Amino acid sequence: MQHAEEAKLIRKAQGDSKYFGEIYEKHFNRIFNYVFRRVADFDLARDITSEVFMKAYLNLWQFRWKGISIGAWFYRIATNEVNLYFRKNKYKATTVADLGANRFLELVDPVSLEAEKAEAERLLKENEDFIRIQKIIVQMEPKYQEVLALRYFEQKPVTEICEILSKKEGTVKSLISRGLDKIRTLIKLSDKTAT
Amino acid sequence: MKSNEEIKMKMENLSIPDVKSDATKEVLKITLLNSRKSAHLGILLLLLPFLFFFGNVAKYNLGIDLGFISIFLSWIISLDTVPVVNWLIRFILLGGPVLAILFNLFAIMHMYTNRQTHEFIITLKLKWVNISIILLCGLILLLFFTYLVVENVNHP
Repeated sequence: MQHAEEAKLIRKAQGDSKYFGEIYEKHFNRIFNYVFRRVADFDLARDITSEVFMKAYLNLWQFRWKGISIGAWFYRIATNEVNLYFRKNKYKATTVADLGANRFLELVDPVSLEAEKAEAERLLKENEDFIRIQKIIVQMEPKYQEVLALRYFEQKPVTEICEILSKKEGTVKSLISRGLDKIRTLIKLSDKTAT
Repeated sequence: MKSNEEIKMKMENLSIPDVKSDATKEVLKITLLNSRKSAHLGILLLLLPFLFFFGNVAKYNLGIDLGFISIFLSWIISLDTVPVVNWLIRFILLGGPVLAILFNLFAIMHMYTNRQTHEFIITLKLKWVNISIILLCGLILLLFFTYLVVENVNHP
């Protein structure tokens, strides 16, 4: 979507919630996957993503078009929310049940919901290398976690990571490089303990 | 692993799980959009009774002429002579807040039965827009009923 079109849609969504639905449709899957890859837990990813979109929905009126795309804004909220989860032991996202979603569950095929969860768990088991790296990354400080996840899990270019995290290019590159170094050390350490 | 370059290569070629979330997306979307709609409708249903009541108090109790609210009040009073319209106004003034309370309650309240513990559980989401509308509507209804009781006691 062109920037001008997106800016127009955001302005409409700020006045009418049905347009928020359009934005939501476009970005939900990407954000859900980002959160899922960072926490590697389907239910937790669902709750954190619901919190992300609820915050975006309630704060959309504050969003000002200053060159940062709405997609980057969603990623920023999701990153903050995941960091909050890793920082606070007692982190409590607004679960879909808290939002009263149980009332609407009958509108959606329950088999599809269960199938999605089962499929996600199967994919995690299949991607052993990913799980190993993910477990190593979550041991790091959030500033490394976020750049590494955005760069290698989401395959975002450095310029987009800068936009999402509101950081300078040099800082992001340095965090990626130091993050890779840490991964190398932690892999060595885990290999040593395994043997 | 010997160097950062090798790690970088490994990370760049990492097979990433890509999950489908269509059903999850649908449930959350319906829930999110529903609560905001109820709040909008609540505000709309509250507007006329609020203007009527506020205009009445300002004009007759405080002696303040609030321009457009006074015009609105005079317009309502002028419609009072047509019986059908008179009933319609009563319905809007009293039924509006009642409907607004119901819509907003349904949006934030969730009831379910836990069959294992034999408990009937009611949960209330802390959505302040919906809760404020419910409280405001409750207040308007209370004031209307008080007004009606006082009017009937003073002028039986």
